[in-house]
Amino acid sequence: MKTSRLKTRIALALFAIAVLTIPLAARDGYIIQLLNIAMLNAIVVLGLNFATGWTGQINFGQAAFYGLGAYTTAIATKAGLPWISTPFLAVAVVVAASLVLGLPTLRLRTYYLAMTTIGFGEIVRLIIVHWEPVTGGTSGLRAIPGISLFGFGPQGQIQHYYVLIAVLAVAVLVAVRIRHSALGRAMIATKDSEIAAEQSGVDTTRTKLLAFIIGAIYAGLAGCLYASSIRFISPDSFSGIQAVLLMTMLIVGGMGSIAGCIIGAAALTLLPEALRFLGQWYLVLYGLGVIVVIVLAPGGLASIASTIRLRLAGAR
Amino acid sequence: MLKVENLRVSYGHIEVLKGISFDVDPGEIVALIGGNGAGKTTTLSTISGLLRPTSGKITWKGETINSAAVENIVSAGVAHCPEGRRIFPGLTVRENLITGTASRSYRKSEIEADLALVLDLFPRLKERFTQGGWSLSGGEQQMLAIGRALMSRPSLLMLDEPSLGLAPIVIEQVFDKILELNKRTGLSVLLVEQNSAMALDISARAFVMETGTITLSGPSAALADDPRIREAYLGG
Repeated sequence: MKTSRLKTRIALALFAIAVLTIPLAARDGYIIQLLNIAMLNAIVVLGLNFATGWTGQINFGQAAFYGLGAYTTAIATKAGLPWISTPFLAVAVVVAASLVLGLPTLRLRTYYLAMTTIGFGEIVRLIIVHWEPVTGGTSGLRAIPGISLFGFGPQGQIQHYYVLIAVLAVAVLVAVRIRHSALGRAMIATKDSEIAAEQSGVDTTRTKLLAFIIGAIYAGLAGCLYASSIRFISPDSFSGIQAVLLMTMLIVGGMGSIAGCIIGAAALTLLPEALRFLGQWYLVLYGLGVIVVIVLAPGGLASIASTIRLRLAGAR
Repeated sequence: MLKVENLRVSYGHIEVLKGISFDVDPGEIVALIGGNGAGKTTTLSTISGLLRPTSGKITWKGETINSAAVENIVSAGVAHCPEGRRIFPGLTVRENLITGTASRSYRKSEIEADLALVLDLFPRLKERFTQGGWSLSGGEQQMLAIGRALMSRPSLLMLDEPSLGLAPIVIEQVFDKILELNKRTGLSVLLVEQNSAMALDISARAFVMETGTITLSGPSAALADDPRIREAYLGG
């Protein structure tokens, strides 16, 4: 047991070194930009994992929370508010929105909850598209002021890369802490058996609502960073298709697994670009790949390593 | 301590409990026996607040709990160990047990002390402590479910079909544990069972249910000798 913990630590350390040195090797700004988007997606998927992966509540509203965070930030900074206020504004907006959506709907189950969250996503998208004077409509908002704390801020893709790595690391640590707290146990108990959870004294409605709100905060903060690091936003980035894509990242990476969230987000952000040389055939291959993962590794990409280890142990 | 008076419960238009009354005294094991569809599980679910009675009264330590929330009934000291065990497969054995404390805020030292008590009672769980709930056998799951219920420090433990789906030798182990627990801690137990012989064997009193009514009641030893019970439930 001790050696396996040591191995995990060594593996994590090697992974950290690799991640930190990527920008030195890949000087191509395009790749760094893609990695930045992958990390933002990873934060949003980590958030989705609270409600969907751990608590078992289907949520197709995550892209809308992402968009609310991004638009709040863009509108606030373009109106001249200091950047430092935007994470707080973004969180305030998504918490309010998640309460409005969550309080009346979280008693609904399965398809009904899924339908409601799809409706919510559509409402947010329509408001963004039609409230043109403020949101820029379908053409979006350009020249959004960048991250700046008392006059200091990251310049260029590579500096943003390091900022996002740090934020992603904090997001992971917070998720790990929550998973091992009473709230985290309550989430998984609620997913495994809502009745048994209540009989054990878990307030399942409160647990679902908190999972939903925490997930929305992750998305809102990622949206804030998206707007001020990519510096251009449009409704397309936060549409229903994006919501489905986020859910696919969670499923392909591994529902309920923190590593799975990151693997899923990275794979599904980078893969379409890697397959671009295939032209219009890339979507076919992409779709097939998703199906293959779901059929062969229902636990997601993150489960493959442990499955192989189990098989090897069984074969011995 | 627990008193159920003239309890009626309906699913839609169908009345499943047609005015039943019974009680459980402190430190006593009481059995509710009867066949499928008699209303035994419905009775437990109504006491624990998952279902609402259409009429009648449930009193716990002198207070009416008809309309109390599930988690408040747990924190008042009534633990329900549900049918089919329903442990949390995604949590480790340790986490399953700690989740049983969710109804109240305990200090860390109190939780550790309670964990030690449960592990002392069920040493098998100690061996499986850090494993996922999904990896346990049926008997281990039943012990985990009982252990989880004990973590809320109940004064009444309601057990729904603890023998369901277990091998005879495991059933005996589980019933031995229930008896040991009752003797050691003075915990009251309300036991719902289709395995009438075992239930009558460990309980002090029993109530026989048939299609939503209580048809017979009395000391378990006397019921075990009653020819009607012998014929209907004990195989002649």
